[in-house]
Amino acid sequence: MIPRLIAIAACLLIFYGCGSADGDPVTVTAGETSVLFTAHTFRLPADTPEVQAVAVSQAVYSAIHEDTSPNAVIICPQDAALAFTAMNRITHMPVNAPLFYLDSKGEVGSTTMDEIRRIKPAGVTEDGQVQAYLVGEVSPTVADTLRERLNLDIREFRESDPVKLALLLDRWQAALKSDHPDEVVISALDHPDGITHGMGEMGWNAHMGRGFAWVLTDSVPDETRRILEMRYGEDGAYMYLTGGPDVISDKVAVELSRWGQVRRVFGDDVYHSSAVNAGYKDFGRNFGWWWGWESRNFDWGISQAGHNFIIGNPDNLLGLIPAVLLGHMGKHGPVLLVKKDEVPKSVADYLRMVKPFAAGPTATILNHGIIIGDVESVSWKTQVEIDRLLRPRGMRDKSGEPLPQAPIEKWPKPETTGYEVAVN
Amino acid sequence: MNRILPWIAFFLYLLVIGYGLYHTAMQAVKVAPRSDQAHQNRLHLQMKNLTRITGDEAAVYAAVQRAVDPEKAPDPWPGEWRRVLARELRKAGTGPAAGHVVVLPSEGEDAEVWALPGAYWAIYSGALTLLSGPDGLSDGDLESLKNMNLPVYVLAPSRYISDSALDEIRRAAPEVRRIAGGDPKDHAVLLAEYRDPGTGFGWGRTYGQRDGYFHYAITTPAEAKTGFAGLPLARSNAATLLFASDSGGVPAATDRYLWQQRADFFVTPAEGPFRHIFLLGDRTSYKGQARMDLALEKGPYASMGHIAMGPMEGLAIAYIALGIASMLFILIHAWRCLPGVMPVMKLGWAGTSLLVPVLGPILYLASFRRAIFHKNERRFFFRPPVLRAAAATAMSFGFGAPLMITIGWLFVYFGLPLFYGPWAEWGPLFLLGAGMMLMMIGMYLGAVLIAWILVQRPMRLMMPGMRTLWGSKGLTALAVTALSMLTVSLGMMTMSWWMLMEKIPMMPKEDEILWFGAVWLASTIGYLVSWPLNTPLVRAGLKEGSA
Repeated sequence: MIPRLIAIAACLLIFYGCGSADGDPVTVTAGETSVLFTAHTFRLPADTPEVQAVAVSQAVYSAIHEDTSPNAVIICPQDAALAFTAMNRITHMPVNAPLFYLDSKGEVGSTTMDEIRRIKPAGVTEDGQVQAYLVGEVSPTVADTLRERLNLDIREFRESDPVKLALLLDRWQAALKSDHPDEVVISALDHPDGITHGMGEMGWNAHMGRGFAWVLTDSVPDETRRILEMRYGEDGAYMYLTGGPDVISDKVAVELSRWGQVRRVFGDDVYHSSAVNAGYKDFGRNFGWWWGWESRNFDWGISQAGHNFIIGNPDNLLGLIPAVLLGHMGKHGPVLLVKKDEVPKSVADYLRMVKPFAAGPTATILNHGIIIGDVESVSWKTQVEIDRLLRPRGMRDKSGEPLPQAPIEKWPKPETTGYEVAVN
Repeated sequence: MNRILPWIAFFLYLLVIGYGLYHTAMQAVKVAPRSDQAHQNRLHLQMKNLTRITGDEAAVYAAVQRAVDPEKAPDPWPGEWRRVLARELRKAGTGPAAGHVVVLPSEGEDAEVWALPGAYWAIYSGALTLLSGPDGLSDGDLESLKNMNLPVYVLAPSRYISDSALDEIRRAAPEVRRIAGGDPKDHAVLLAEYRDPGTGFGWGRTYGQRDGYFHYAITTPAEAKTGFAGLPLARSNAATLLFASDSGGVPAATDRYLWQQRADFFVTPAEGPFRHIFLLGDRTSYKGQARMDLALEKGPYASMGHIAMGPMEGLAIAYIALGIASMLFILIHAWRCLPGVMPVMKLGWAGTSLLVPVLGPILYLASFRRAIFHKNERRFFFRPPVLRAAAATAMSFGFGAPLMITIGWLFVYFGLPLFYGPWAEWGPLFLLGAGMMLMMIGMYLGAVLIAWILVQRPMRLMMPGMRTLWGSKGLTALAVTALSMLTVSLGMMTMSWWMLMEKIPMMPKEDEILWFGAVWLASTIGYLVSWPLNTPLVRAGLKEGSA
């Protein structure tokens, strides 16, 4: 009798603890989501980088309990190079953190403050339960405000030079993970498109947490040499240069080869670079020690249907950088760059290559696109064009007309080959 | 006092590990403890795995049509569910090519709720679709069935389409099958999982279809008309219809189904499949929406991510349960059957059995089912050397290993310390500031210190006749404890590192069962490594192994 009573009491305790998902209805006054989704895309609209970062965070973290909240948040000034460095090195597990921007006065704006309060970071177990990382020369009042108003544990990376910041974060990550990842993304700090060319690889780093360092177009800074010196395994580092010789010179590439293997991941322009990155894959040996071995595994390597893409305009660089969080959780896809009113040919060709199709009588492979920014950044027409590129072959492919018959118990015959499918 | 101190060590680790397991269980079963705060100040309702389409049926119909055919002007909401069904069936181009016929209920209270899941299948499959009242199909429809000679699926319970109506259809068609769940929510899940490959009927989206890219349209029974407004999604996104609750939550049938639809990944989470929900209407709560979004979030194969239970987590739970059962067995057996044995010995064996399930009790029974002899007014058991080493190991491991887990859990609960100054650039020196390394050092030193003060020193003071080093029983106890725990650490720390840093893709947190599973298994390995290494200590007379 007593064991039975104990069992009943234990069950009641657990049921009491469960709670329920019942609750009030939800209504949206703005109705934005109804307007800005298509069958195979949805949009996270915002008119400023600060709000864009919040909009992305809200899509990723429902925050109904600790496990749907991030462990920490990253807060940095609206400086592309600092934000780019932070997303490269901090976002991924075990930190699991969205990036938010300070406002133009260098303070945490009300929208951002509300969002941090909403998601209530749980703390990074591997880093003393830190809940907020401040990046760059941030005013001490920011940390004080966050401590006072939200009671957050804070770690500050007080370094305004992106090159030095990369070194500082490399040391911190090594302590965090007891390792220096041998794959290192290398971008050019002084080239006007240096960051944009590296958006795709930055997305991979947010997704998988590999290394990162800066170079200048024609030289290797001392801090970057020190980062690479720390990759002292049998083959040293595996370096991935984000840009062609016009962005990172051959002289720099040759110099970097002192520390390991150098590869370039780039296209003719920033749009092409994003498409190349999405399809690029480098895997193979890293090191082995009799009993154990570890392979290298770098970049998305998506060359088949069934994946998702973060799509934005490089002119909206500050808005796009925090959006790679969507490659870290949820849809886990690479960044593709488009123009406001056009999907560049290189990107369209890539999407045609990975166009889905019916894979069986009741299973259709599906791609999904997440559009970053408002219609001033990526127009509705472009969103529709992207939807056309993403939707499965044979399903209202051209004019919205239905198939003459349903794909039941047979594989649908494509009407055209991949590169001939009309987009418009 | 010396008799009480080991009990303090025992209750200390029992309290911390017990709380840790309770904390883990509660984190896993709580649905939405933070939901009030989570819904505040949202800019939109879009989630990574879920698109929310709010508004009445007219608004949803317009939005969905625009989503599916952005270039076409949307048709107006016809105001009646049968008419929108007919329109969408016409657009979908249904006919006999689908290989079967679907019959849906059209009359009676909530007929549209029961008809809705089948309607999504009809739109997707292009199956010829007929509406039936309780008395059956019209004569014209029955005549058509006779001409088509196709199998018929009646998707409603008998109160909507009677058994006699079914008999009539049976006379007109070669095969008739009724498919109906206990309520509309079960019915929707039943249709989502049902598949008849012979006739091509049914989605067949079961747990076994691990690689399928599945989309779902979800609404509440009270908003069934809104569900009909989402019908174009059945065609464009191959969306299957499921129901949420009118009270805003996720009913058990749908909840169970969606969690089974969580996809896993083996290499990186970028690998397919991906699944997505279109949530239609206003009634579903934020909590319900967020739970559905979470259910479809990808998880690593070993743990299946937060909340869900992965295969390695299942093994971990079984292993821990065996450990707890083994410990309970020792506690009950030792106190009932071994009245003459010192309590500290019994506690040592209990702690060992907690972390070395099954083997612990076997060694315990083998150690005590022995002849007894007396020496220095103390009672001993005749044991072969291998069992003396096992018993000696159990006396240090039985307290030391649970204390190491206790300290390790406190480390992860409060967070690991990190140090990474410029000195960390000098070769492998960075490891001295690494959190995992510091935790392991802390676990070892902390466990040695506590076990020495609370267990090993008092135990040695209670045992006359044992060899003493440096003329001090206390120092001897410290040296033996440190050495013995070092041998345990050799196996335990190596296995912990491999499990937490290499085997499991993402190091589990303090509220994940996989963390406990990893250190539990590592402890077992620690005992097995320590066992032979304790033999020299027994031979040297520094450990007894016979008491």
